[in-house]
Amino acid sequence: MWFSAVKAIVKEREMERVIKSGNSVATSKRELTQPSRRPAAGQLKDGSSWRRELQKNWQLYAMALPGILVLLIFGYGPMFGLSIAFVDYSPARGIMHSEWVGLEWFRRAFSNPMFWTAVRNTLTIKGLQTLIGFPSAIILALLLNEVRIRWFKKMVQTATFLPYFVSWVIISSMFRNILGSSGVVNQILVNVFALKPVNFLTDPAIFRWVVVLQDTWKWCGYFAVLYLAAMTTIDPALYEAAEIDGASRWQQTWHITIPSIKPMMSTILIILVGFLIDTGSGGGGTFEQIYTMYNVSVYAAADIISTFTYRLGLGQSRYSLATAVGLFQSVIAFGLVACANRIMKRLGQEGLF
Amino acid sequence: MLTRKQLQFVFVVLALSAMILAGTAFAKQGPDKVVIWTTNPSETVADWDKDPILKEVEKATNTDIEVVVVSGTLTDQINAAIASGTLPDIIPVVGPDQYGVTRRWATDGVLAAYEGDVAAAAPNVIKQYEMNPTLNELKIDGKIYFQPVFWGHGDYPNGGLIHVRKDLLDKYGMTPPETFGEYFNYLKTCKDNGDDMGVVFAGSGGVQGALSAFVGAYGVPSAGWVKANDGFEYWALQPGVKQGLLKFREMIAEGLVHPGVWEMNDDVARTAFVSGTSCSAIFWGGGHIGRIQNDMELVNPDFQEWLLPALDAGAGSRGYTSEPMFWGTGQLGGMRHNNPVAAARVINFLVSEEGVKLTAVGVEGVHNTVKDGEIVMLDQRAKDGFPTEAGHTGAHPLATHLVSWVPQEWQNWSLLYGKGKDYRDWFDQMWANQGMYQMPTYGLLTMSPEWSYFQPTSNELVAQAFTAIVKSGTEEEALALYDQFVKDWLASGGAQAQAEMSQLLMKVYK
Repeated sequence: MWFSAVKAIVKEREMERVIKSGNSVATSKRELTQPSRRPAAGQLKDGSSWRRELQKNWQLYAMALPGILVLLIFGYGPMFGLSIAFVDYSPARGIMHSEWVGLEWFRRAFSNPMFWTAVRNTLTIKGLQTLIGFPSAIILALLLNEVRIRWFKKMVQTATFLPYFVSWVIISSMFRNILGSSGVVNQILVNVFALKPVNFLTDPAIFRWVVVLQDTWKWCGYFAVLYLAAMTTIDPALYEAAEIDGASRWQQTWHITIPSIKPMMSTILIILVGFLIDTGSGGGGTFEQIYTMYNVSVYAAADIISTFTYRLGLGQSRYSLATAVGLFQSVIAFGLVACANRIMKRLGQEGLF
Repeated sequence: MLTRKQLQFVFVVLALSAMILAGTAFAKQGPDKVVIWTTNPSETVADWDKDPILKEVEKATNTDIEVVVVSGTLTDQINAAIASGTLPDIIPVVGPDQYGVTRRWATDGVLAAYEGDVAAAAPNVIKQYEMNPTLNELKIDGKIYFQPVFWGHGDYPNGGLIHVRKDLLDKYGMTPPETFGEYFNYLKTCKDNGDDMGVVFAGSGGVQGALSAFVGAYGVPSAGWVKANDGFEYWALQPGVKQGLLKFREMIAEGLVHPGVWEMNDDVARTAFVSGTSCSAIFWGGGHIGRIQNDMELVNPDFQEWLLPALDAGAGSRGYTSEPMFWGTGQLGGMRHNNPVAAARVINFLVSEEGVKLTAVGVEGVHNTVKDGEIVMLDQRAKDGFPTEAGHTGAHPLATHLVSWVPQEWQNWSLLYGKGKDYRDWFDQMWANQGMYQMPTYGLLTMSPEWSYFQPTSNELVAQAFTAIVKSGTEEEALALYDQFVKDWLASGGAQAQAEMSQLLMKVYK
């Protein structure tokens, strides 16, 4: 069967890669962990070994230094500010002299009924966005990969990639004009089809789906490009062999293309899982998306943690409450990423760390 | 006898001392530097350093004023200024939804209280507190920290007022509605005649801003606290509110509300009414009445705005909620680098009759002149920062956001400038309608520590629950949602905040 032949080729390629990497690519990787010419872990603690290492590779360390400094100053330095979550922060008194309140702000946040609504909405919206958006991008990439008319492929790719460059504020205005009560869609529904207008932006149940599909529309093209990039690295010999053995396009996709982009899929999935709890603008811009679109009519279905925090925390200058909620989000997000990473590794895929 | 050298030494010492003393005296006579932050974009003032009105204020108060226009979230910027020690001497208006924050600034010692030299420099601010006892609610530990950014000096209805079109009433042969039944009938008639898409209000932030007449018809104000059960209770928990919400729901259920209202803010709702898309709006009053009419005339000279007195629902009560005639407060910086006494002098002048007139009509002989006892505007006025656009208060940017929204008498002067008797009579009638039936409220300005924390949550609970109630499918569902709201409000911190506020208000209104 062609399938077993392809499998054999894949296995053979894998072996070749392992052998090659043993000599070249992975050698550098091994050098980082157990280099033959590098002192053993115990020796590294010896100051003289460190000095030797620095003397030998000082150019590399010098090049890494600015990056490390930036990370320390802008990545780790501000983490001192997390202590705001444990004090009754007053700008006049500063962090150090504000009253220590322990976990009071966490208690206040957790006892607020709207907080748990926001947590539920966050998980629901981000979950649906992942559930729909993740496979959509793969499907789009697979379809684009099969297109043989170059101009058409380029046109579709550009058209689907374009929304990625448009800010949420602009997208929000566009959708208001399209889906608003007097927007284009409702005008068509009422005037052309003599139907009742649909409250896309003020009906909680519909609004949630607008948010989910809008997110898919914006990100689909971007992720599809990443998958397409991964597909370009697939050895054409695999397809040739499959074709010789009579494999259909679908079979080639299923047994060659998809397995080959699995590492990319798992990496993206881990990142998306980290965004499940919505970490502000880093969470795929969900805060901007919802904040610019929602209104009080749809809070029950669309108020997410970051919009809740913005309104009731930052909007009221309650920095301690906002920081406490932010810290809670970060801890949960880290847990989710760690779990996803572990699961991926267990499934034999590449992890992030 | 002193030697020549000793004499020379004494002479030099005396000369130096005289120079130092003269220098000090000169420095004392120089103007005090005052930094003002303003959120007013003031596009009309090209260069504040050359602004003639600002120069007049500086001359009158012996100050050298630097105006800094700030944009973005004001409270965040002020907090950053507090943290970095760059707080301005005069902080512009901060809204009532931030009273918890301003209170915190005061108790943290970064605001200057109007006491001692500061109070002596600002007798006009102290007088405002004496003129309106409600302002005592703003005091913290008996001290004045806040200058109400006012348009009037008492209590009067201003929000949730019902506007209709008099020309349409005349067209349908109707008289201005007095009851909700008549009002709903007017809305139905508008719809049936294709003149309208339903009543509009700013629904994107919730329905509570439009409830004034609806809950007033059942004896409850639409904000603040009410006397009940030997204490004070929050307005939204009163049984009358439930009735008012059902009446509002009835209006929606009968299809009398514009379908896009839940996406509208104040500006969009106002535009819908002014442009004739809607035959009624639930909106603000005051100077807006005249400005709405002026804008309507630009769309269609036949359009005529009419403000209804608070409507009757047959429950033996009616009234719009009566509130202090100001929105937000201005404050003086009280940090080490600030000069609150000089800042108080500036505020005091701007609040004074002379200051108000200066910022309303400018300098006599330059921006206006008096003919036959009447003030006449000169062309220079428009060139020196006074706006000419319709819909504006007509005053110089220094008048607004700092100490007032332009006193109503000057807004009226601006709105009635060049108008005939009919317009003036109509304008007076609208003002009379606005205050014909009033519903008093208490504690709008009071803040206890727990209420300060809970108020934003309360606002959210009210906004979400009330919007869901008026949009609910059935009356039973609406009633169940209201009962659930009361439970949630009390359980999530409201009970504690209410008890604290009740005690506080009992002290103020003993």
